[in-house]
Amino acid sequence: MWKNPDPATSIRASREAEPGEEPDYSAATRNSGDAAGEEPGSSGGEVSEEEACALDAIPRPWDYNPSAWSQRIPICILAMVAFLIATYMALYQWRLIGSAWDPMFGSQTEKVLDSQVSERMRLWFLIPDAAFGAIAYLGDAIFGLAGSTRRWQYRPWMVIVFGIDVIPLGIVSAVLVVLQGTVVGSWCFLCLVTALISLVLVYMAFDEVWSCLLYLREVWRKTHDSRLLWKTFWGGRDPRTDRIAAEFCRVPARDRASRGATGVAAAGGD
Amino acid sequence: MWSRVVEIMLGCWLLISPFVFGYPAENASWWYWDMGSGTIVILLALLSWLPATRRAHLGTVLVSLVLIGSACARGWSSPEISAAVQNDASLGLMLIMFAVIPCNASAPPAGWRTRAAGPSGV
Repeated sequence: MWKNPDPATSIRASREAEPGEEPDYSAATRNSGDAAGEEPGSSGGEVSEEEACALDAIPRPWDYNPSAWSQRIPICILAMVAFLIATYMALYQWRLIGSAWDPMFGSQTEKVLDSQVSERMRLWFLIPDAAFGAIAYLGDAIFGLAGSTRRWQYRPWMVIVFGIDVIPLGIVSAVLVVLQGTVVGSWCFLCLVTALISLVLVYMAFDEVWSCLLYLREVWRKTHDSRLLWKTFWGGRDPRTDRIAAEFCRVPARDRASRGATGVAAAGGD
Repeated sequence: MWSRVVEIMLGCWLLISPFVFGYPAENASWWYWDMGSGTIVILLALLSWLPATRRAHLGTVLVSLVLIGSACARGWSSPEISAAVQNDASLGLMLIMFAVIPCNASAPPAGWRTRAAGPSGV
């Protein structure tokens, strides 16, 4: 399935590699067949522009691209729904509206939103906890929306920030739900909805973050070059990481005529 | 560039905040601070359109940190958290998230921009 299934074929490391270090990363034979027997530091074994720049490349370990718009837009929409719900609850906590809607637990929502736990958090965050949550959901949408469809490779920092926003938020939401039942003793329907959304978001966002972490691990494992890892993390391009990425992902087969069109469609906008 | 557009909107909100929340006239520093930071945010966002200063929006991260810091300093020292403090804290948090998004974020970084992606990459 993978484009380069033969890890035994290796090429010499480029001159930037650590002295005395074994060139342990492999570039398997490509269609052009130029991988073996290159001079160190030469441009041989380079990945093609198509491999390096195909925006619909599919990273390990999935059989789809987790950075595709079809994967990310639903996350953004769901996060914005949670943002609106949290904003509504914040409006109540600010007393810009007089009551909070709850179809199941009646006035218990208001008890939760005015609870001691909530008041305490307000002293820490300076803003009502619902407003703080709303900003975090907004962050999910922002970081879900930014970046190209190959950002697991091109902008790892963005995917990691996205994960840092989504995953702890899901955990915090779950903890707050437990606190509702145990400490406050009341239930808040909309809080439960947002907590559920948070957990779904964790599930939906996980695949992309995982691919990104695996790719960074691969860069480290094959080069042991911390500066290269740093450069990769911040979205710098390097022939060595291009090669690693080309092995890490596969480009869906398609005829030449549709390549350009796909590229334009994927890169369009903003 | 959508994040720059949002930054400009948030900068406008900072400019009108003193009027929206009715900052007392004797607290001149609150007025200067919100209107000053709003102006800086808008200018940095506009500068980001020029190729030479396309990373100017990162300066907004600093502005946001100072906004959050001043909100914490004021909010944690008094029992009553004023609207001005809450406004600065929320705006700082939101601005910092938008400010780290690169210009043309939907296109690959400069190194990977191919001819196909060219027209959208500035």
